[in-house]
Amino acid sequence: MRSSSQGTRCEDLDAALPDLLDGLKDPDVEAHLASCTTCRARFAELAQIASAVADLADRYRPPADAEAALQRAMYERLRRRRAGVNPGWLAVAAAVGAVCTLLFVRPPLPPAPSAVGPRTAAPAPSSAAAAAPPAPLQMPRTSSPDPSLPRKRLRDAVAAARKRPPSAGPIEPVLDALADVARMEDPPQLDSGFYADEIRSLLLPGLIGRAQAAAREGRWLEACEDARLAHRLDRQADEGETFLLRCDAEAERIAVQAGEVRDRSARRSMLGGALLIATPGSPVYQAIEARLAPPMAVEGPQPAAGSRGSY
Amino acid sequence: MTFRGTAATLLEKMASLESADLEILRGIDRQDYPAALAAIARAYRPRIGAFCFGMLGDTDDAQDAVQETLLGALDAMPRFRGETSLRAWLLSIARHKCLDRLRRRAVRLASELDDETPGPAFDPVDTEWVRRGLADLAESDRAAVLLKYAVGLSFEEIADALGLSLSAAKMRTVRALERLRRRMT
Repeated sequence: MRSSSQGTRCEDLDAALPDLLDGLKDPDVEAHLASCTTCRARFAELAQIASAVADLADRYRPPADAEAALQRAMYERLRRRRAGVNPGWLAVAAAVGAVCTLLFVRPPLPPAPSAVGPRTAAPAPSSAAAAAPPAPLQMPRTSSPDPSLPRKRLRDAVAAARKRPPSAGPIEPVLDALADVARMEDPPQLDSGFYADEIRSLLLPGLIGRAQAAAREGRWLEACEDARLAHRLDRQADEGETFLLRCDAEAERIAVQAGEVRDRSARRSMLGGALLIATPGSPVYQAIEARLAPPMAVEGPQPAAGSRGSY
Repeated sequence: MTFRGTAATLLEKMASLESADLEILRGIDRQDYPAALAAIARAYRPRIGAFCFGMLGDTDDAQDAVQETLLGALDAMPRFRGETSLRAWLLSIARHKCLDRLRRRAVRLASELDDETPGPAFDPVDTEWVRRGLADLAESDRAAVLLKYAVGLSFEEIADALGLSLSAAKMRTVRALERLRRRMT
């Protein structure tokens, strides 16, 4: 067993190694290394291996299309999230589906059909029913152990919402409760006049109010999500329609700014953000999507570097 | 509530941060996640790639793991509170993505190599030697040594990324290095 004059021993080296390999010097340890060939050799070998591990890392080279692949995957992920695949967004999307189903798709229960003869004149459709019905979202349907529970939750949520100003109404509990209803195999009848109208009257101002607040803070992604929900709840409502125009204008503004950014990655990032704000299917959305479209994969010889256009 | 609210204080404390980290944190704070992800990719892709390559020993697998890590970061941004460094947070995600891939392989990386063939003699410039050596380490040891010497994390960051105490992080890293050294003889 060897030790330096200050008392550092071979067995003390283990504790000192982390700092030593980090380049932190300790006079005691250095004195020991100077006097002990075994520890000096061990330290040198460990340092050599650490350096070899660092060199190994240099072998990793991201592929040339790594950035484009990431951008595509990112926008796809965000788009799926917006479409409701992500569990967090699924609840909102489910609720929208439920509301749309309850408000627009399910007709009022008709009188029992006559076995013979033509059906009597159907009742005039309401203005809501006359509106083009949005495509209902496909919800996984599960049996509920107690069919009354979702309805009770919905009733409680609406009751709680009644006690608050519309602009501050607790939207989420109502949406969650509606989502539960939508998942039931046999949704209870909730689409009768007053109740459905009340749900809509609670949701619409709340959604629009929340969208306006988010827009004032510059959180356009959230603002436009809410505006789109509101628009789906009631396509006749001016507030939702007007707000979506603001979303498209904001998206267009960002896209124009992006055109002035020279860094390709930053430009694509801005365009991606604009795409998430724009209303799907709108001219602004389509224009941004076209600018973001990845180059088509080509068979045969690859194009020369720098020949991939502006992106 | 996300990172917003704590960010202002945090950003003030982080005056010494690299500008890339500030850009990322501001993106997360503004909930501009696409911009934050783009900045993360620019600043950290090589380091995440080096780690994944060392963990998985295969370039294609590493590239897939890098992509999964970045998308995992995108998903996790709303929950990022700045309690650990960005690097430790990202590399922690990377480690889990690598673990997922290793589990999916259902065999340890080492078993993919031909164990009947003697490994090459130690050569500090021979990356194949290092790759084989790393493959023989336990996953946690491999992660520690890669985080330290391939990525350049501090021991504190390694402790955060691996969920260890500081002393345990130091011990694990040096132990892994020592196991590699024993292969030299």
